[in-house]
This record gives sequence, structure tokens and C-alpha cells, in this order.
Amino acid sequence: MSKLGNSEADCEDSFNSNVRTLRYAVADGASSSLFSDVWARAITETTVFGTQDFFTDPGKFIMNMIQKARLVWYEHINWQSLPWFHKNKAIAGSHSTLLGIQFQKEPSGYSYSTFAVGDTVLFKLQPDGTYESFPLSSPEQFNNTPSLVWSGKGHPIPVNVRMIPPKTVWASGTFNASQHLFIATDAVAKWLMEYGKFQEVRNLMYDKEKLRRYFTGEINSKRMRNDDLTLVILSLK
Amino acid sequence: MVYSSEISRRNPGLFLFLIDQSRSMSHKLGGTLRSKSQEAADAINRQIYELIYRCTKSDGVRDYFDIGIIGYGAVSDTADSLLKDETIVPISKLAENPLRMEKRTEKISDPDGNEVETEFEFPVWFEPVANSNTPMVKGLKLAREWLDDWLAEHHDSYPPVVINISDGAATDGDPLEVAKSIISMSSMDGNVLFWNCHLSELKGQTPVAFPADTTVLPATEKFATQLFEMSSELPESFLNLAQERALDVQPGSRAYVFNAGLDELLELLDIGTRAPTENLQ
Repeated sequence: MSKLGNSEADCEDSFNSNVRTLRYAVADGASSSLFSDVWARAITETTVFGTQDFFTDPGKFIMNMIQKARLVWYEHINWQSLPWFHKNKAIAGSHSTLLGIQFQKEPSGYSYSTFAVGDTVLFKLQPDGTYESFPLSSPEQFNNTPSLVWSGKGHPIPVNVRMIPPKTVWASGTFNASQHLFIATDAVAKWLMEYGKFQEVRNLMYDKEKLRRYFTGEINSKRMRNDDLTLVILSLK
Repeated sequence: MVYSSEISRRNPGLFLFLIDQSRSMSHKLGGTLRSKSQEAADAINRQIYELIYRCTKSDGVRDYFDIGIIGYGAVSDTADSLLKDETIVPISKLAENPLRMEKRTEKISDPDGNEVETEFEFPVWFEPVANSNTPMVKGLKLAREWLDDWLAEHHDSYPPVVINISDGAATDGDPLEVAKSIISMSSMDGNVLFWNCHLSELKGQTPVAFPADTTVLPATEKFATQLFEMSSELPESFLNLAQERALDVQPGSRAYVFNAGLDELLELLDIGTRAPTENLQ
């Protein structure tokens, strides 16, 4: 959902999934840069639909992904027709966090490989309510300067330039039917760490309107920061 | 807690610029090759550009701020808006309606370090004028009227920031009383912040930036003390910002620079407009 006061179209978060490759990705476009929504969509799309595999060559996967995403981002923007205020800002490029996860079937469930750039967080919730989180593990670790995936500069810098790889952290693990995975952008992730309301959120996950009202209440009571919110819950049936 | 209101489209902030257009503004600004009126106009046009940059999102320029520009002294004993047929306007309206566009160039680097010279369009909203006397009191009275109207509709907003740029004393009376009445105006989030920048024309003059008392100001210049009295005390958020830039400020420092050159003018404008933008939501 969008930051309170903004329209849904203003939301700069993106979620994408591909059940064929068993990949999921969440990105949180930085509101300080322009066309971050376009960039967030481009990197989630190229993460889940890319031909490279997380498991075989993570470094190659990232470079391949951002080069393809740059092409998508660059071609989406009609550079010539932008008004001066868009043109002058868009040249600086767009920024976004990104968390990607890919699953692999194993005899007793699934194994996964995951990477993160910035403060979008993966939680693995155990049946007893305890959890592990990646890449951040406490609310104090959130700040205003997370690592970000950068699109590179916009027009008139050409589309085909060498890309600078983002600062990426990787993790792997296993996932079974008794566990739940939560992927959350920073405001929800910090709130989950502070208040631990995983069960409350799970109970509301099939009713989008109730969940929206619940989050609105948390924001209005200042427990959660007013921001674009994305929360993905994965479980095995 | 004051000066903490979120700035949003529902609760925009206000920047009101006042510019001296008296004849003496045609003299060169100390240490530069251009006149005080040219440097001041360029600096304010650039500051508005920066504000628009910060408000620009994919869907356009969001109205996080309203802007007003008052000039005094272009015509003898007269103060008026420098925006044609407008007083205070939402920032998106300025973005869409510059007076003219200039072509400028800058060098940007690609990831391999190659520099590419690029041309970009720079907007100009008002031109420099240096023509008559210094009716600062009239300028301040006009500002007070505009502020009164704006505050009536924005009770909860971040308090307006007023920045006055001048090179000398008022020729239409004592501006202190009007300035104090402006500083006493407030929203729920605090009093109006009144900044003063006095421009120097002598090369090598020592600027006095953000003084906390009048003893550091030249005793022979009566209006140096007058402008001090006309300036707000810097709130904590502005003090913190100035301290981050290693500027010599302390509790009680005023929003004021005396004998400013170009660097001090730009610094004052940047600090004066930067702290509120940290509250953008």
C-alpha cells in the first residue's frame, strides 16, 4: 500500500514472482530519486525472470540482472519529451533496495538462496513464534542511508555503459511446511521487529482491506512509519 | 516541540524571498565580477531550482512548498511581487511557468570516468534590477500581509521562512517594528523564521555569520545592529545543520549574515531552505 496521503499510483515499491523459476523479489524505490518506481519494477522483473541462476553464479547473476534492468528502465522513459524539471533530475538515475529469493526443491522441503541490497528484510518464522531475519536483525540497524541498487545515469549518458555492482549480501537456508517466510520493506520490517505481530498479520493476510486498515491504525498511532508498505508472506501447503 | 511539522502536500511550507532592488545593488558584490543584484537574483533563482528539484517526483512537481518573491526599490518607494500577476504560488506553478529558460552546460562522468559535457535548461523566474531607493519597510509590510493570509489557511504547517537580501539601510523608516511583528507571527509549529543577508561590496570585508550578540558587529554601522535585531534566533534543527557544516554557531545565533560575499549568501540560502526540506513527507 502507498504512504498515507499518496495515491496507489505513487507507490514506489515493487513485488514480482515467477512460479516457474521459484523466484520472488521485493524492491523499495528511493523517493529521493526520480523514476524509482520504474527502476524498482525493472529490477524485480529481471530478478525473477532472468535466465541466470542464483545458485550457480551469484555474482554473474547480479551483473546480468542490473544490466538488463537498466535497459528496461532506460527504454521505459521517454527522455526527449520530459519537461525540464524531470529531465534535469532523471539524469542522476534511480535507486532502489532489492531482496530476491530463489527456491530449490529438496526431498524434505525446499532450500533457498537469497540476496539483499539495502533494508528490505526476509524473516523466517518458526512454529514457536521465534524468527531469523536477513540482512538486518534489529530495529536499530535501519537508517536513512541503506545500500541501494543504482540504475546508472540517464540520458544523455548512453544505455550501454558498464554498470557498478551494488553492495550485495547473500544467505541460504531451508524452508519447510511448518515455517513462514515474510519479506517486508523497511517500515513494516522495523515494525515487525519492534512489535513481533507476525500472527496478527498472518490472520489478516487474506483480507486486503482489513490489513490496510490495521496498518493505517499502526501508522496513525505512530508505531509504524508512514511509508510505502510491501509485505509478502510465503508458506508451503 | 516546534519546527517539527511534517511538510506534505496537505501541509505545505512557505518560502518568502525579499530582495533589495535599490540602485546601490548595481555595484559589484565583494570578490565577484558581477553586481549584487545579479548575484542575488541568480542565487535565489538557483535556490528555487533546488527546491523544485527536491519536490520533483515521477508524477511531476509535488506542492510541498509555496513560494513568494517580493522586490523593493525597482520603482521609488514601491514594493511588489516579482512574479507576474501572482503573490504566493504553489511550487509546481513556478516549475511550469518560468519567465525564460537559459541553456547551461555541465560535465558529468560515466562509470568509466569519461567526462561528457551536457547541456541542460536552467529556468529564470525573475531578472536582476537595481534602480531606485530602499523601501524595505514597504517590502516588509507587504510580506506581513501575505504571511497573514497564508497563515490563516495553514495553521498546522511548518512556519514560513522569510529571507531578506539587502545591501543597506531602509530609506522609508525604521523596519525593526515591522520585522518584529513578522517574527511574532506563528503557526501551531512555531514562529515565522526571519533571515537577513546583508551584501558587501568591498573585497576583503570580513563577513559576520550567524552572530549570537551585537559585539561582533561593526559599531559604526547602525543598520548592522538593526538587521541583527530583525533576525530570528536559529532553531535547533538549523543550528544542527550549520554545525554539521563546521560553521561557528551557538544557541542564540541569529539567522543573519553581515557583509556577506557570494559564498556566505549561498550558504545562508542553503541552510535557510535545507532544514525544512528534511521534514518532507
